Amino acid sequence: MQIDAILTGIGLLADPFNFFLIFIGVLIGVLVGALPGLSSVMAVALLLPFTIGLEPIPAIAMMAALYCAGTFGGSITAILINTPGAPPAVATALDGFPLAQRGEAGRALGIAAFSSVVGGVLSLIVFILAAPALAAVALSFRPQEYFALTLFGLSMLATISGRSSLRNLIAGLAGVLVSTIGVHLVSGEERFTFGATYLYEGIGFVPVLVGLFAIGELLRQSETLDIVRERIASVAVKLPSREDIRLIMPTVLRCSGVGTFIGILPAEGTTVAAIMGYNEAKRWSKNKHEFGKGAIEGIAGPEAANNAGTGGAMVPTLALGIPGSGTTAIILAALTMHGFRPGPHLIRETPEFVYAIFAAMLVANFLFLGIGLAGAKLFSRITLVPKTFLWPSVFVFAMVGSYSFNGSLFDVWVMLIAGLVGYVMMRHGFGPAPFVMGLILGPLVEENWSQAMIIFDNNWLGFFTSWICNVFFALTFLSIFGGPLWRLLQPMLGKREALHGDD
Amino acid sequence: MDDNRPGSEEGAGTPASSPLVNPWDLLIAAIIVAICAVLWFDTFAYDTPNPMLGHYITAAMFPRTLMVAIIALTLLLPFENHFLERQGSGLNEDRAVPIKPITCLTALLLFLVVWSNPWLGTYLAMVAACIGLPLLWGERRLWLIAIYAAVFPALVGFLFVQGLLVSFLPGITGHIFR
Repeated sequence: MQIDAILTGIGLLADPFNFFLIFIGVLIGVLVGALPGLSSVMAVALLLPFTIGLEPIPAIAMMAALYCAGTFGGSITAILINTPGAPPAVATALDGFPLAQRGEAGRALGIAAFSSVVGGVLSLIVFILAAPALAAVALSFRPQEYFALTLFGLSMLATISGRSSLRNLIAGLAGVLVSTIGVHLVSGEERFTFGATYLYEGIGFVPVLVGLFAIGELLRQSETLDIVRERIASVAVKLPSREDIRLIMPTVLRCSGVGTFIGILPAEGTTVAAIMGYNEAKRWSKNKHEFGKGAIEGIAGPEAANNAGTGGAMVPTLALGIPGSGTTAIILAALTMHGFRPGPHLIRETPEFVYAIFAAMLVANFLFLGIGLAGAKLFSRITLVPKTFLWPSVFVFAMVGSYSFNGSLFDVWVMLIAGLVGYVMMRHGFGPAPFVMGLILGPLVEENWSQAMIIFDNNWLGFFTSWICNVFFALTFLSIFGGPLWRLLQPMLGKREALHGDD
Repeated sequence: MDDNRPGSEEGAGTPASSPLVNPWDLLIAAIIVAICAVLWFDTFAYDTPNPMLGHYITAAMFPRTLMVAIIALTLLLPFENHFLERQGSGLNEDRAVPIKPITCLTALLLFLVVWSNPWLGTYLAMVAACIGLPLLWGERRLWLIAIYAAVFPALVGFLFVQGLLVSFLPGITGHIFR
């Protein structure tokens, strides 16, 4: 391991201004996570225009800190008002709220904070060990193999959260298609611009991201203005007792491993990690009957897993240039905007940058423990901010943020249209995250595909001459068709087992 | 957690009540295919590559490949809900509820605010949004709206203009900030 690079990376964060930005990132993250409807992915998208003027390290460090803190913040409202502030906290509400109803909200919040920190820190250790190793392997990849890898990344959209794999795939491919708008770099041809000079450089992803995540959600919120939620009174957070820690530690460690692994898988996010974490916590628990009624392992499991997912998701993002989740897709976009080329070259050429992000996330984990413990009472009151003022503020930020990116009203229109289309598509089961991943991965997919096709003299079969490509194609096939095939085979296997049973 | 999903076990394999072809998905599929058709037509206008360049990668190849994949997947779309409902996770639950008038009005208001940007200028457009949206969403504490509409756009304006050196659209109030 490069000790010099690690020390340089950590040293870059010693600047008080950088530390201040991480603190702000954590604060915004916990706030946004705590507010139902606002998510860390939306906050990172809204933050993107602000970070353009910053140096790359503080900009990305701030976003990474927000990502970690936002994942934890969702647990506050999940426990206190039975409404996950962010999707990854959905499983936390299952046992967090019943425990809070029993008058133990402080204990529930303390367990959530403790488990989140342990999960986050463990996954960061994996991140710092795995990312350079993965990048070293990926460095030997040729364009055709990188294309196969990005294709596999896209195919993983079929398995991410959402009810329809098919719709995830269509949205992802549509994102890639939208990324082709503008001048084709190989031939210099204008594609899908229809003569509009605004489209010459393509559609900026900042307004699209802001529109999809902020405006789409704003319109969804307009449907639920009359919903009143049951609220547990504000409480002081209690750190878990020694007995609680003894009880939850095996669950926390196990679920941190699960969360990190899920996070590392391209396109899988912290929500999937949390659900898997909950299921694992229940599966291994001696008190299964307590689950759903306020089991502390039911809080610790998903919280450890979803925060472990954040560190895990950074591994493919930085080492391969393939986002591990919706939020890391935006972080990837921010890296590109700051002139970096995410992927193995990033780790080889600027390792101190990667270690600085690692250090920022580590600091963020301890900061949100402090902020979460000290400010849970305050953050739970944040949810009292009326929607009638919260969402207009989101719109104002979205409008001005989109405009400020290029100083162009066209981007504001793109933001609005993306929001309206996103809202309609969400109603019909198309998630915004797959589209965004496609949009951001698109240029990478096409670049490698073009280079490979030039190498193969326009012969598609050339892709199958590499065993690495064949492995990724097989994985791609499995991730798309594995689920349906399994469902198809299950009844047959069931019948066979029944027959053996009869024998 | 999954144990409680409706029909996760019992629902599988039970006769589905939903039609094989979902009309909503049929419409969406038709729109996607129509968009792809328009885009495909656009690719005919691209120049063919010059063999002198030593390669044959045209601007149309990659998008066309994508469009083939999208259309192939889209053709399955109208039938998907039928199979999802058999597994107990159909999509009709969300979209069966019609879009509420307030959502349409909100979209219209957002459109008007963006549309009025060149005339009102960015600052007044922010103020308009801060007054219009709360009122539309049923906020009746006018004093609170007034404070909010005065303070919030000013803070955002200060942050962007002074902090990030963004030049706002001047509009009719441009001379004030000049």
